[in-house]
Amino acid sequence: MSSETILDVAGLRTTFHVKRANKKYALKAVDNVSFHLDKGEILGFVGETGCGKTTVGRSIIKLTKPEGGVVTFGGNNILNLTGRRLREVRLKVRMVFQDPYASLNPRRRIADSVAEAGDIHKLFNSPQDRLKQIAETLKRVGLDPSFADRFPHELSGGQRQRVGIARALLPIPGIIIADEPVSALDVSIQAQILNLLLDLRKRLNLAIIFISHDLSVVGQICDRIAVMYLGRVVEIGEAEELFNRPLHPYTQALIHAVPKPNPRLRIGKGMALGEPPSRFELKPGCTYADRCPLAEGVCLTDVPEIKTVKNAQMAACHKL
Amino acid sequence: MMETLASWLEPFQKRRLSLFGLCVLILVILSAAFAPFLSSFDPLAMDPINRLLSPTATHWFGTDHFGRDTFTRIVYGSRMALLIGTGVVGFALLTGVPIGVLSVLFPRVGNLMMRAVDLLMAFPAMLMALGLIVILGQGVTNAILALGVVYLTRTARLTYSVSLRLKAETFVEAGRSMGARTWWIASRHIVPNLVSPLLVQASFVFAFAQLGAASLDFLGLGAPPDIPSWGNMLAESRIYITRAPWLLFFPGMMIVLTAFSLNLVGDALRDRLDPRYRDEQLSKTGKP
Amino acid sequence: MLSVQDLTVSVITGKTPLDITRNVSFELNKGEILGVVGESGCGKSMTALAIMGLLPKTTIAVRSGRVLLDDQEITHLEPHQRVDAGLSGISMIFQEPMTSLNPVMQIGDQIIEALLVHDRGNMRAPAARAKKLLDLVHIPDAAMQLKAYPHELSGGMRQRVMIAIALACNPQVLIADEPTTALDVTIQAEILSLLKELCEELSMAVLFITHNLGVVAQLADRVSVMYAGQIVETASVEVLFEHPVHPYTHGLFSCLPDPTKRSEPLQPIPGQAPLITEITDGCAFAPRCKFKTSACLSGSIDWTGISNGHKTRCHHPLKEQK
Repeated sequence: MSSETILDVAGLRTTFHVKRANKKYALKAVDNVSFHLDKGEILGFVGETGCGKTTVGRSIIKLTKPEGGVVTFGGNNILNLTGRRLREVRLKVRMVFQDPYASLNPRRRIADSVAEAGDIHKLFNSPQDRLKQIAETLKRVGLDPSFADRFPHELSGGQRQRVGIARALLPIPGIIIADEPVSALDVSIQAQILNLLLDLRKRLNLAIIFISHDLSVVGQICDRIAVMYLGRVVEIGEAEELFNRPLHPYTQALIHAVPKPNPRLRIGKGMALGEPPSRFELKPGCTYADRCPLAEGVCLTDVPEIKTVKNAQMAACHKL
Repeated sequence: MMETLASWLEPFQKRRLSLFGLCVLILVILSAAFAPFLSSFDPLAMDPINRLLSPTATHWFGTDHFGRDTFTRIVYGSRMALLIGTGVVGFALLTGVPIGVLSVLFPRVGNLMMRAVDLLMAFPAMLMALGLIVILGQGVTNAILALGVVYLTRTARLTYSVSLRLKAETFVEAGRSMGARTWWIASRHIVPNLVSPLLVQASFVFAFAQLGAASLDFLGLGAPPDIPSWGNMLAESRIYITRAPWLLFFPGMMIVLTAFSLNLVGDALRDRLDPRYRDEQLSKTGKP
Repeated sequence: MLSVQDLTVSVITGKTPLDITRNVSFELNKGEILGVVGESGCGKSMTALAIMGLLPKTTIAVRSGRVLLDDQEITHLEPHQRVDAGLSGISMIFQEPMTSLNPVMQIGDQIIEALLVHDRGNMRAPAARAKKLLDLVHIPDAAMQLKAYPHELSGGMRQRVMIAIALACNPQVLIADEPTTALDVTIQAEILSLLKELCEELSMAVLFITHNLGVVAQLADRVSVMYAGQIVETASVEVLFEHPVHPYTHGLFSCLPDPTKRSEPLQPIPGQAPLITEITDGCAFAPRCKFKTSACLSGSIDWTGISNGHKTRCHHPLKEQK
């Protein structure tokens, strides 16, 4: 942990208790996840459906209640906070959501959505002050202040996502947790929003947790990347290193499976990974073992701990 | 403002029958408001010489067994109809909406409350209204209360199901993630989004209240017999059904017509609320 | 094999018809995979539905143009009429397999149903044929999976079942509308290689509709790029990715995230695609285009040939290499 660290997560565990076919299961959505986030850094969480990346984001501010772990922010363990102290943390660690259509209340004007956090915490001195700050925030995300009086259905998808980001910027937070912020957008709009996030990071020195299933997007804008598989971080490291020299067999497979926009780089046959195992009844050992070409012996019995492999790159694999 | 009005009237242009319903309702409201100007007769004045007259140029709808002018009584009866309807809808909304919203926001108590509502729904509506009248006693206020309790189950259930869906919406999640309290979520995110579905539901409850009130009146358990109401008129005239069928026809027609019109208007309101949704879809994808 | 000529699909409820697609034309040959790329609302799915005869004809219909299958016109035939006429050579798979499968019916029965519809009940031993179809799409334990219900299968397996159902009528053409968009990348890679394999084995033509340029590069032989209801550029996949000439196609490439070029900032296309109600005369892309001239703002934009098999609807096709 350096002095620049703004958020430190250690041993985060979140379990969902679900009932399927009259059987109760304890689903380990997040299992012993640790990482730190520096000021002005973009940390990507990438993985497939159900790997727990979204739950990590939600657990940090207790939107989903974690079972264990320590989340250190501003000298406190967020997981121990309740009431007013927790609500104050939620003002400094803000979320941006995936679906720009569902994340804005259709009956409220843009101004009300953008000013919501300020209204909740009674931060505005006067109505004029409120309007001024709304206008400033809209300008920050590249929208004309005249959008304030409109309703969400009058806006396009890209504009709505800008509003979704603006809502997370009033008042300016320390950390933004962006959960699939560009997945619902078309490529040409997606690039606009990614550039906006990069620009905001630079101007406001924001730290961003960027959650996405899209490896290319994460690889493009993140400084560091954490790869998740069935609730665990299997590899974490500098984006460039991780992308060019992935360590964990799952990271390798994931990078390999991304369709490259180049007809000369076609994925060959014979890389079939098969289906991921059932999340309800996990076998002992490495969760990736039954899809892993290298799995043998110890992989089937012991869970690999995440360890530093080289420089700042860490991976959880017995074979490294 | 004009645009909003025009957009509300649009579905009525497409549905001619609903337009007819709207006109009927406007007529009923106007006749309630201007009752004394619509007829030169007194609804309570008896005229034994002219009893049980068939419709004539002076007595458009004929006269009843006391010689009272049926048209005048129908016109004044619309006041009672609107009073009961408004009262029942108001009661059902004021009780049902908080029950539904609170049940969603506080699931533990909520489960209990919603089971109680389910229990109320298990009784046949009329039977429960009668039972409540027996407990509360006869009278207009009590009729409103009894019917209100019957129909609060509908508003509560609708509020509950819509609120449950809203609670899972991302914008509610977003509010929570910024530190919003329950009260904030309820007043800013849930209640405003209940307006449209409840508006439609209210029109149907209004219609059912008409029928319920008429039934109670007919059984002599609603408005006191000296007050002109359509149900009372039916009840008093039932023994003259062969001699003076118009005495039953006109109030009966008004009850049916009003309830029917309310249902038609409710349908049109639903249309008005759907296309907005469709417009949204259009702007979302560019596809219809 | 499949020929689409000047297809214009319109919303016909208003006073003036609103065109969703305008003059869409392409040829699809035996064993070929044609990728149709475009952003949401560009009309690519409507084109597919029009070819299938699945448009809700009272609100959206083919206003002009023709669809020919083996030189026989099928534009205005309903799907059941096509079966009767023996022209049921086109099948389709969709983005979300869960909504296209009946949740209360075993998948074996759903495949058999498809088999019987196309053979009008004449088929012998349909269950054996159903098992063969599941084998064909590489579903393990096919005999057992016939008894499974859709919710018991993963998303990737469901999409395989959908492909099996689509193959039940021995189609000459398979239309795949974003078939991998809802799937994870590792599963996507498998479905793509399955489609490629089937295309070769059964010498079937595939019309592959997607918004994902990466997927197209992986799979397609030729690519058509759609924008605001029109095809704006068509070329073989190598040529298009090497040397896109329409400013829109070029713009799409420059805003693709590429982790190997992190230092180069993304160059988004400014503005946003027009709604069908906003399309005016001239080039639909002109408001977002930095090369536009007054000529782009009026009239219809005709095809410009670039090289053999490479053409674009643009007055100012780009010359330099990407």
